[in-house]
Parts: sequence; structure tokens; C-alpha cells
Amino acid sequence: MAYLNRFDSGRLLKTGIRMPKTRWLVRLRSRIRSYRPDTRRYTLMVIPHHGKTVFSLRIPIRLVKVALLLSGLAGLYLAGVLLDYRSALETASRERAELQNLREVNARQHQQIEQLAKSTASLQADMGRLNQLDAELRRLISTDELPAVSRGGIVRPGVNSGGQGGPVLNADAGTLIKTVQDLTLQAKARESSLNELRDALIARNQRLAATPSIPPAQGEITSPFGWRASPWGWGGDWHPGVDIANSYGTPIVATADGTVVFSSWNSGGYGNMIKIDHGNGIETVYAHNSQNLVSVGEHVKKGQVIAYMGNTGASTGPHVHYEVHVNGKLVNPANFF
Amino acid sequence: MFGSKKAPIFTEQVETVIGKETRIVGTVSGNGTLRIDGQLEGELDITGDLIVGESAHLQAKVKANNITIAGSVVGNVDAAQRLELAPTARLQGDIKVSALVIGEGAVFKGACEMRAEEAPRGKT
Repeated sequence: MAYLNRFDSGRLLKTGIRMPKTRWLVRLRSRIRSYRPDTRRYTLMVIPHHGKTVFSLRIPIRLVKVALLLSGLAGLYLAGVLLDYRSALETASRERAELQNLREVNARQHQQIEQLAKSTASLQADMGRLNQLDAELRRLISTDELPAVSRGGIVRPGVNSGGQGGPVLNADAGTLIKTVQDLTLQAKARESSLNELRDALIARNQRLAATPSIPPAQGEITSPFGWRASPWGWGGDWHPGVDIANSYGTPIVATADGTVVFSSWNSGGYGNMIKIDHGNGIETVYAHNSQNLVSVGEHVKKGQVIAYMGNTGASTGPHVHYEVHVNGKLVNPANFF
Repeated sequence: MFGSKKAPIFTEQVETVIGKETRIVGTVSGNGTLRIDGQLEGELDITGDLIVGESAHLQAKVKANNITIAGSVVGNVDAAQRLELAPTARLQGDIKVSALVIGEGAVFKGACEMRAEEAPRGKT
């Protein structure tokens, strides 16, 4: 009795407290306890409809299960392969479309390259014309005014593009690039050549500006360069300049760019005198001025008013006595008018 | 006509197999196709086809539609249509058939009666 009571109370305790929470656990445990390995078997018979012996195969259920599992896995694998294959097909079709697209793009770009080739050809022709223009300019500017190097600076058209310089006919990108490079080189050479020309022109302009080329004042040439009858009445004398007479106070201008080297009273009969050094051994003298407007060291431009006409020094009336010295020798100023 | 012509030649699946280790004494009768690999003593009377396997031993009076024998049979055989003796067959008894095929090596000892008018033409 005691044993039974104890057993009952134990079971009551269990059912009362634990059971509701752990019912599924208990069921699982009982199931595990009652587990028997599945030993069912199947026989697969191949029965010939003739006299040959029957072929029979005994298959345990576990083998069937394993086979099912394996075939399931194989099916999954096949499905995966199929999916993969389909995705590969899709990728292939996408790539084919992309290829098509790329081909179109390529064709378009090819056309553009051809267009570019045409443009480059016309550019080449332009460059050829520029070369000719350059050469012409060089001919126009006398050769002695350009540095010796200038002749080498002329880029003959087409020297760098295979000898002929004809328009680019084939649309090969490599040739195109080479042509463009050549053009770039030619353009650079052209630029330096033109720079040279510009420098030469600037120098020429400076030289021109520094060369006396205008009369120093408006008026009448009353006494030319060379031997003449003396204005003082007795005999003749050698006149070292040109006299230009006008009314008192007529502006006298510098006949070329230069630096004033003398501007004051000359006691030798020149009166108020100005002397300008134009460089290259050229000097000009303006004398008998009523008033000098520039001082020594001042830089003057061609045409700049430097003095007013007067009658100072050995003079018989308001005029400007104009002399031109080239390397210390007197020359006829009329040659420079 | 088509069906009736085809049906006798074993198109039906084998319904019953009497296995190698089985021995039957008595009368076997039925409608389906039967295959015997074991031993039978007595009588066999079916309307379907009969296949006697290589390991079979029959000591019986046999009656069926089409009969193929590869084992040994002792007793009279009555095939409604065709009787075929496979090369391994050993038959001792009188037969009554519509068509008869005997493979090389088969042993047959007995009288043979043929139902002339019922013989299928295309078959040998």
C-alpha cells in the first residue's frame, strides 16, 4: 500500500504541475522510446512473358527512402542546373543584344571616324594653305630682316604625314591619330614661325619708326642740302641740312623715334637746337627753334612736337634747320621725306 | 478482329506467379495470365495464357489459350491457339494446338493434333 500511495502521489504531482507545460515533450519522449527501425521491404519482380527465369529484387524500405531522398536531391540539382542553364541562356541572349547594340555603336562610331577623317583632311588642306601664306609673308618681308633660322622654320606641308600631304582618305583610327599628331606638330611649328614673323615685323616697325621718314615741319623748303648761295649775300657755302620756313611758332616734330641727346642753346649759330639719337647711327638735328619742348634723355616718338619754329642763332627768318647724320656723316634729309 | 488477334499473344500482364519454391497439388483454374516457376501436380485449366518457366515441373493436364513452355511438363497439353516450346523445354504428353513452335533443343515426346481450320495464317 505504501508503495502504491507513493506512486500515486508522485503521478499526481507530475500531472498537476508539469503536465500542461511539457505535454509535447512527454509525447516526443514516448515516441522516441517507442521508435522501431522501419524494416518494411518490397519485392520488385521482372516477369518475362516467356520461359526465362523471373528476376526479383528485394528492396528494404530504407533503400527506397534513401533512393527517394537521392532522387529528390538529384531533382533539386537538375532543377538548379536547369535554372542555371536558363539564366545562362538569358545572359547569352542579353549579351547577344548587347553585342548587337555594340555593333551599332561601333558602326556609328566608324561613321563618325570617317567624318572626322574628312574634317582632318580639310584641316590638312587648311594647314597647307597656312603654310603657303606663311611662305608668302616671308617672301614679302625681305629675307635680310628675318633671322637666318627663319628659312628652316618653314614647315613644308605633308613632310610629317608620309610625304604627300594629301587628304586622309582611309578612316583608320591609327592613321587619323597620326595625322592629327602631325597636324598638331605642324600647328606648333606654324605658331613659332608666325611668332618669328611677328617679331620680325615688330623689329621692322621699330626700325621704321626709328628711321627719319617725314619732314620735321610744314612749310617751304627755302634752302636745300648742299652748295648754295649764302643767305648772307657773299659767295656760296655748303649747307649741311634743309631749311623749312614757316611762320614763327610752327610746331616742329621728331622725324623718327629716338632719344633726345641735346636740347639747349648752340653757340655755333644753331640757336636753340635739339639733337635726337635714333639708334643705328642715325641722328637728327633741329635748329633755330624759338622754344625747345623736350629735355635731354627724353624719349620721343615719330611725329611728337619737340619744339616751335623760331629765328634764333644765325638765321635770317623763322625756319627750322634740319640735319640728318648717318654714322657721323651728313646726308640729304630730303632723301628721308 | 485486331483486338482478338492481338489479345491472345501475351499482351496482358501476368496476373499470377507461382514461385519457384511453391508446390501445388490439385486443380488450378482462372482467367488471367499465369506463370509457373514452381511445381504443380494435378490439373491446370485457364482461359488466359500460360508461361511455364525454366525451373517449373508440371505433372498435370494443361489447358490454356497460348502456352509457352521452358520447363518440364508431363501430361497432355491443350493450347487454344499457340504452343511454344523454348529450347529448354521438356514435354512428355499429347498436345492439341492451333499453332506450334518448337525451339531447337526442346524435347517433345507425344502425339500432336492440330486444329487446322482455326490456325492463324500469319503465324508459324
